[in-house]
Amino acid sequence: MQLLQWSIPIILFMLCLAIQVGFTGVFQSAFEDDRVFPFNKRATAINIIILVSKTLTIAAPFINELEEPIPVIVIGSVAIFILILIIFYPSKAQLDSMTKV
Amino acid sequence: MISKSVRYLEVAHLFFVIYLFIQAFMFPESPRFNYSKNRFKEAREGLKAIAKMNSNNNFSADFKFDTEKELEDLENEGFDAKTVRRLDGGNEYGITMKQYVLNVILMSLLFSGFSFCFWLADFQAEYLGTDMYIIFYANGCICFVSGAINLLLYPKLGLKWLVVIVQSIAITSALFIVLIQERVISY
Repeated sequence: MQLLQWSIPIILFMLCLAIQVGFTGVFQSAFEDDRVFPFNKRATAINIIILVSKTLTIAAPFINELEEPIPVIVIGSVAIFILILIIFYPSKAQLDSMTKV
Repeated sequence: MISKSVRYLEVAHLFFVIYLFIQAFMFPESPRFNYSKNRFKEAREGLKAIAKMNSNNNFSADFKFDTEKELEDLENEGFDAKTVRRLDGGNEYGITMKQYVLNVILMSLLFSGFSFCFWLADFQAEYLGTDMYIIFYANGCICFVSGAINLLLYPKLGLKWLVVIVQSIAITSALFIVLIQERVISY
């Protein structure tokens, strides 16, 4: 019972940590991997990405104002959406072919 | 409740936006862009204008670019310079090739998803009712720890598996929180 009382902060900490690790990984991939964006294209690409992501994130505080389980359900749904999206991330073979262009 | 009193901040913001908008018309087109489009004369004029703004009196626009010379040589040899096309359409910095457009779309969606979840989870943490500074420090710790985890796991797993693992943890955590909020698990 005592453990369950502490569960929400601990689980929330785990949730934040998991999201932050993924975010840092995507950031690193976009900034560092020449096969995703070569040096010449990187600045343009990253700025487009930041523009889109910041625009869509405007909705986050509004979702936060909704009834209690909805924001967390949205987090879970977006996490599932990301899992589906990551399937389309180029494999190593596809990434290698990009360097030959 | 999030404050919506941002009027004065937005006025200051608007001032800078208008300034940048007007300024855009006062500057010449980027010489690099003109060069990438084979508009060498305009590129030289742009460079001349920039040199003038920088009070550089030693600059002379009486020169030819390497690519300009190459294209002229091609034409002299009987080739049509217009048929010599680069894969990126000559726009070296633009996202013009299909594979990079797809990468930008994919990365934009991934960034948006993570950014959205990050802020939403952050706002949820505020409902814990703890002191705001404790939440700030906790967030700082999360950033440090996540950086270290990423440093360890990213080179070994690659982005794909890293995201699969962390999102599985995120989904499990979200499910657990929902079950507690809905009193399915109670204490």
